[in-house]
Amino acid sequence: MSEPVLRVEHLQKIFPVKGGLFEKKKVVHAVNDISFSIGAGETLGIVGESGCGKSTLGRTILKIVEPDGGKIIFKGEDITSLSRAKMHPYRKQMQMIFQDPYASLNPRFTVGEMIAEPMENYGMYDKHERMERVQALMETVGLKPDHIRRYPHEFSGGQRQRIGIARTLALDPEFIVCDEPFSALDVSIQAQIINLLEKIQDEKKISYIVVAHDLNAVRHISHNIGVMYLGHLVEIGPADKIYSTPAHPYTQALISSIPKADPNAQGMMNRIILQGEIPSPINAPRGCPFSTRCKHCTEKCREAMPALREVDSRQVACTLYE
Amino acid sequence: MDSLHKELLTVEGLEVEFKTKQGPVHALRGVTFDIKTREILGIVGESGSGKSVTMMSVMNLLAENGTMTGGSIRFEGRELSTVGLGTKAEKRAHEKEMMNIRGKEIAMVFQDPMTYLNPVLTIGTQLTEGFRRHFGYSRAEAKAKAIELLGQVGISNPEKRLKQYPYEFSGGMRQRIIIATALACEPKLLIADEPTTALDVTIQAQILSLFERLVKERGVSAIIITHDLGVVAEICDKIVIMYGGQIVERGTVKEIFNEAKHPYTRGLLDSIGKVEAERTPLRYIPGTPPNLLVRHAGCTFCPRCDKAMKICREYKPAETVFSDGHSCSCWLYCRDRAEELVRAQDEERQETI
Repeated sequence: MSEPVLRVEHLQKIFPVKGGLFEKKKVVHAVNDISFSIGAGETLGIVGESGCGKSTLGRTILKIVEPDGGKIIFKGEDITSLSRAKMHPYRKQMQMIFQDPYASLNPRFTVGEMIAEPMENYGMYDKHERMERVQALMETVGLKPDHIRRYPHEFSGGQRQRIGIARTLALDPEFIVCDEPFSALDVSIQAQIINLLEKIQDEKKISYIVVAHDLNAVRHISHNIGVMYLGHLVEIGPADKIYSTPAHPYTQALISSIPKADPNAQGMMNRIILQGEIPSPINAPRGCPFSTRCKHCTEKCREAMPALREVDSRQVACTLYE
Repeated sequence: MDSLHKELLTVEGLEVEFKTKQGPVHALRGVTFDIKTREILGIVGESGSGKSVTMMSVMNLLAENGTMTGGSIRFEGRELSTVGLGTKAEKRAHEKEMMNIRGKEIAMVFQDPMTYLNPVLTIGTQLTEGFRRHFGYSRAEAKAKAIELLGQVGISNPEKRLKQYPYEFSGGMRQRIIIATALACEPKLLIADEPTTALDVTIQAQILSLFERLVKERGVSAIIITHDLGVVAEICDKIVIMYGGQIVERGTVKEIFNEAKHPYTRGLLDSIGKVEAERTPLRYIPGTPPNLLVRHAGCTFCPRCDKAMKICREYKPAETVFSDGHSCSCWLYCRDRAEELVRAQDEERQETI
């Protein structure tokens, strides 16, 4: 296998939480000892419920927030402790697509200015070439040429997301973190954006990390899926393995919870309904984070977090498979 | 019709208009549907299709700039729409009647539980408000009933929980409380507007099974507004598909999923990624939802429709009935009646000029 585009080793991100005057300082382990790698032109989907740390993981990899431990290796270079200035050339190759197309575009910029801005920042091309590239990019993402002078408020959510994608592609990145790219969009528009992201990937061999809570959408776009729970990666492997035969008890519950748009399926019958809610990450349970809601929980689970191990061509962190 | 399933709510030809700075928005353009007792109806559509406006009209909770300009809403024989109410006195009397219906006979569950719970009142106060107003319960009676309700929706330690404020609860628990509040006065009809959209999937599964159990146990009817076809497929009996302020198709869950007729319904079903799907491009509906500021002469879906014909742009399609309950408004199925429909619409236009 060739060198992966991105390798993450034992990545950690800890946020301090303000305690009371006499209380002990508390911390939240938002990203806890996470390792994986992504090859060229591959998509890794990260799924999990709100508060599991999936967005923080994406942001930590791009060093939007500084990691507190572990290594991020991008194309063989360790970028974990690079300064802001030294990160600058890497930022060009590592981009991000944001969740809310209403909040992530500057309302005072026209579409053309917005797509040209990243290229200006890096002093790429002369003015004339930039304009040509802006037009080419707009065509790639399916915007009309006469949209170039319009402002973001004139566009619908789906088209704004296209503007965001064009802007991201302006620097020819090799790796993009997509943070909930479809969740603000209607179903019929979601499909348009999924197709667009897949088309771009096939043409330019870009690697994606897609962070999402919509399990159906992420299934379609991802080659591999990682499942997170309270800051830990509990299962990671090929998407069809994860969806057809989930191994970790949490993954099993998560996959069975997806409402099936098929009245002939016996969805409700075989559903695993979890008891209780996700514990607060401030007082995360000792040992396996899922132990408080797991029906297979044993003494061993409460003692230490099990390590990821290979089970049926995917990796699972659960004492059931030890 | 058997006695188990009586007509409960009938909405006919409902039209709603909002006055805005840019001109009138025709949010509903003749919406017709009905729900019988012990039925769960799903209303599906994208944002701006008019699904929430329909329900707000039923509850008479339209924003100030919104008016019902035509049609009727009948609930157990009583007229709920404000169409044709002229004088202020008439409107006041109608509002007074609505206050006795809201909460007691028709209750609502909203999308975002944090917005709809008052942050400065305890859960107990908010839970008991309904039955203290409608049934005149004493404080002690109300408290006992509230504890019972919280137990039913699966909140542990209800006595202590009653004294807590909304911020002390998680999203899933708040939604349970909203459901408990809605069921408090034993309504005949429960309207849920995107009840699980703000929740995570595992919590959504909890809430949906709770919802289904309560509806079945108590024999109430429910309308669920959602954009998630998966949710509808699992708990509804009938489905209504809305697009651009109109109902484009209606039918039982099986009819809609197995034999969808309208191109929009088909597009919607195609564009949800199937869990088993391979990585082939998803089928999708091109374009974007319609601008309701513009009066559309023909079908509102035709600019995005791959089967659009000339007639679609100029004249409204009529409803075609396929079986009892399954019908669809599309020119593909009413071409044989084209001549008379066109004539009728031409005459109507002449009159308005």
